[in-house]
Amino acid sequence: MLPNSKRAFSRFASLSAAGALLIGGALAACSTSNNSGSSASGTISNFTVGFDPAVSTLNYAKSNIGYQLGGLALEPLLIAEKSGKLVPWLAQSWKQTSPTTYVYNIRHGVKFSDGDTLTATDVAFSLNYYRSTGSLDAYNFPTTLKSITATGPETVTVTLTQPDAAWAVVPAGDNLGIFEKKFFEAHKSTFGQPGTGVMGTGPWVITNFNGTTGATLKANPHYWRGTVPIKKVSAQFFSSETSEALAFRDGEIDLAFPIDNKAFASTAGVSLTSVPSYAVQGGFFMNVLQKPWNNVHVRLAVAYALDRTALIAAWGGYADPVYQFLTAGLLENIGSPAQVASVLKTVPTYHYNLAKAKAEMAASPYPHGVNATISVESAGSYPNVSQAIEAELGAIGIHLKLDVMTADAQTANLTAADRQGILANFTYNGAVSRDPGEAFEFCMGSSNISAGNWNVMNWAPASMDKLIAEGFATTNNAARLKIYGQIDTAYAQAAPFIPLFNEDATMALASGYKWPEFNGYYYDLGPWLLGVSKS
Amino acid sequence: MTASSALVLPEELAQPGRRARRRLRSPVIWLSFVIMAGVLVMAIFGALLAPQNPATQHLAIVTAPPSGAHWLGTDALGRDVFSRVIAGARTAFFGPLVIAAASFLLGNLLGLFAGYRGGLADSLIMRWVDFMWSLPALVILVVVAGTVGSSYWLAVAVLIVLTVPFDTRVIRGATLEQMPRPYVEAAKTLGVPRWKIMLFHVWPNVSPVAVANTCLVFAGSLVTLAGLEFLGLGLPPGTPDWGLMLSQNEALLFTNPLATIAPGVMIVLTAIAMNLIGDWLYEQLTSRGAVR
Amino acid sequence: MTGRGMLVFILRRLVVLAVLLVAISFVTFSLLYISPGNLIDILLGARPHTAATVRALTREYHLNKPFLEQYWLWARQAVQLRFGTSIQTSLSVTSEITARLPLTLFLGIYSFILTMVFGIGLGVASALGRGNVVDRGITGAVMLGLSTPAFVAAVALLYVFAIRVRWFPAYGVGSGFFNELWHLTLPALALAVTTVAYVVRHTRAAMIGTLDQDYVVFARARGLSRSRVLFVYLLRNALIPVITISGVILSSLIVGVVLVEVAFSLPGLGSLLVTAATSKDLPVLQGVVLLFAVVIVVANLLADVIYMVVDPRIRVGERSS
Repeated sequence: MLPNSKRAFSRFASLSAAGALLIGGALAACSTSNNSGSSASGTISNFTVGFDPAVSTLNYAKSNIGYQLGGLALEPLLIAEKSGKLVPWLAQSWKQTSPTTYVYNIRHGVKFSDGDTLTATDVAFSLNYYRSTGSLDAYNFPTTLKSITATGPETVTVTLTQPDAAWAVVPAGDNLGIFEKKFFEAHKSTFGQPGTGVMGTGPWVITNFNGTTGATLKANPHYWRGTVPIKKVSAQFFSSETSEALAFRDGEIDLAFPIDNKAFASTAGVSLTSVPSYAVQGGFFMNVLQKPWNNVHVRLAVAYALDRTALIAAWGGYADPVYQFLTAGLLENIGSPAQVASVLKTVPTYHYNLAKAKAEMAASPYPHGVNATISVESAGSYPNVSQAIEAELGAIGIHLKLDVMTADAQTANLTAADRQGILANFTYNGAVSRDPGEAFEFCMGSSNISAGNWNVMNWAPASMDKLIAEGFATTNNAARLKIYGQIDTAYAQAAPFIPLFNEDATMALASGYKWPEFNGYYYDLGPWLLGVSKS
Repeated sequence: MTASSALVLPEELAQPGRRARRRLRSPVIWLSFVIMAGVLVMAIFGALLAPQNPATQHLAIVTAPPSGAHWLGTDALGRDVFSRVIAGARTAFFGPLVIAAASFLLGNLLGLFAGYRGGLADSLIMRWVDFMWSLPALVILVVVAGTVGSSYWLAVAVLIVLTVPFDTRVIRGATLEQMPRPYVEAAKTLGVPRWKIMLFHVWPNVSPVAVANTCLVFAGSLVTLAGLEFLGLGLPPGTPDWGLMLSQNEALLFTNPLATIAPGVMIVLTAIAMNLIGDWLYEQLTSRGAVR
Repeated sequence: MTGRGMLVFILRRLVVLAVLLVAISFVTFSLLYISPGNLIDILLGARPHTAATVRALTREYHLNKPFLEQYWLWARQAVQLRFGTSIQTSLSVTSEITARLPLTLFLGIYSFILTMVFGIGLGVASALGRGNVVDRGITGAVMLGLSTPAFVAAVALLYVFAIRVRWFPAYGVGSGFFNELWHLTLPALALAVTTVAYVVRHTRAAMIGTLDQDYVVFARARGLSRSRVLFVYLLRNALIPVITISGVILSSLIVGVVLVEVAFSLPGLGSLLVTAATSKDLPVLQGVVLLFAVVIVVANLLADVIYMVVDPRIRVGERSS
């Protein structure tokens, strides 16, 4: 979901249920011509992509790190377009036969890379595996899901316990790639792991997979959409961005998705391709169950004390400041810029203002200062931004201790059963949809204040739950816009989350190649690498 | 192995041949003392000496190359590297100082005891020393950090435990050399209590070794602690510390390489200075006839 | 020494080795309990905390059994090289280790060879030219090497040879023997800086001691060729002390591997250890630590045995210190 999908962040990578919306040029072309391979740009014999961190397994039930690599070999049932419209992928067509029943017709003639035909059994088996207990992929499935069964050789039927509009987009998740049941059963204990890998229908086949150094993929001769233009894909794993940048500089990799953009660009000697993205929002999260964040004056003081310009500099640039929880960019998906502007006009915003910040601290129970601990992910620019926040909050008497941890350790803290123990942090959230209601729903509302869920602020008054439900209850865009304006206002007033900046989607692409449709959602487009061609 | 032990050859300390080089190195020794005095002053006064506040971020001028305002440029958060190098002397100096002092005390006691008593006590202590001797200190520190959590002073405490055997070994060796001396026999015959013989008769004669050794322990601990900071398993990010700066500024090798090189040079300079002083002290003290 | 004496010596050492290994494994196992926080939460990591996952973990680690029994069950698995699964990656610790072992071994052996070749070579050169410019240069360089930690050397080499003059690659491990050799040259050099200095110092001291020995003087007086004296009389005796420091060299290499692999972003055991420590991935930590411990203990035993074999002057039981 996130532009820098190489980041191992489950909450972003895996929350891409609604998925992606812009179909890349190559993909768009092939969905009509069904003949992507013979494009004029010619074939590419070898293309190398850098990944940081290393992918340790492609079994999505066991790790959230592998979607980007796995997406080259495993494809989803559907793909979502820019408008939010779902387009067929492995499912040729589908229909809702009753309010609680969805029937998917599997595309005829799709073959796995071993030559076997894709069947409804494979699809049902894969999805049921992803939602089984203990699977790290399970939370993509709504609780209203009753069963997924193969009801014919090419028919899969999904039954819900009650009508739920949220189901429709689930099969378009890039993290729900379909694999071959036969292959899984032959490699039960090592499925997805280095040495074994996975068996899918995608344009590339994993021929060699080492969990520490990289993977090699070759074009799938049986690919259902025709000849694959890139004959061989090499995935190289890096454990630091500096080494990845050096590799790029030396021409060892052709494509990379940096996090620490500025350092990468200067080390690699490349100008990055960057596009604004509304999908990824960086901000400061405060757990309202924990001192001192449980006091609204403290939170408002934080809101005034954070200087977005400075924090973007600490991030390394490639970002745009934001002031609302649901941003204008996001709201414009359901309304014109003028409508959105008029709705947001009444939403309070906090610009950097040290005097006001100090006044809020004076009104808090901690006029003489307070200590607090925040968690910091050890990778990329997170330590830098967190240190900048530390300095800015130190100026108003909030003295932070930075607890540095790996992404996985932070995920464990943020989604722990012990909600009071969740540390405040600077991190970013990936929108799971272009629909402003769907986009950040995963971290809102009382239903997400529980183990494994992402309302890390633990802020969800009953009025918020009501607004969230109302937003989904109507299809009238004007009415929805108004509701989301109210949600923005509520978040601004309570300030459990300080929106700071939207990170641009960035990539470094070697000269000689082009990726015209690169955007923050490329990751959800199934085999995203089909978008890259010779220039 | 404690890094310190890699720096020292107890056998070599006893080699008279090295004394010949002393004269040649005197300007070097002089320089070593100047460096250590400088590091000491920086460690005590730290930020007061620094031209700028080492923690102040100038986010408008990140990763700037050296200039009149920032002699060593700025880091990724626009902090003045020169000021941070000065402030970094604190963690580089006081941790090793505590380690050297504590292991001096404990190592001397244990070494004297083992050497003087001999027998089972000696054999047990030496078995323990042999075992600890072969442990890679930094690996132990990494494991402790991974199990209990990162902490500078915890690392210092663990390093004391790991360094004591090193002192013990050297002091025991020196004590054993003293044991057959007539003065020890004489004191024994006169009925001087054992602890008095150990502390007031034997120890003054082994102390040159002990003092010299402590300098080497200091240098070794400095290097090991800096290594732990380099791995990000000691101090919190943002603390001005040479090891930490080295790793955090590694990404700046293209934009402001001095931000990485300067703290590295400081680590090496301080370690060399302390090692040279240790060698020199040993030669000075032994040539005055304190030992043998 | 008699063959029988040697056998007794080795047997005694083996017993000590076994006791040591048990002690180390016990401490390693206890890491789980030393770690603050709820053991289940630690072992679960980012995995969901549900009744099913807790049950599975309890079964896997025998958490419902008494502590000593847990240790026993764990140790039995560890002997079969099974250390459970990584919390972070869900792969077995064994496969995590075996995937990285070749790189670290390659790096270690490469470095060891550099250490011996340069260490002994420079040590001999320094001793033979005692007091001259070469000797003084080498002695100064040794002091620099002994005071330069591997990570400083790594960053310096990286900067000079991979960034300023681009002679060596700055990243990656390469594929194929020679490519790998080329890729790992800078890391191996960084790793060898301290150990070379150490060996030089030792060799030099031992050589100088030997040069003054009567048998060397006699050998020369008898008109034996310079090279024969050097190789047969001098080097052989000078090398013996180098064996005694092999434990120190090994330790220094292991510490260096951790630092150098992190500095060069190499996916080896050293960086695995650091990642495991950063993410509190205790099963991986345990596996790597045990492996390092076994290597150190066994290597020390081997060094003792080799020492016995090459130095007939040593009698069993006389090496208490």
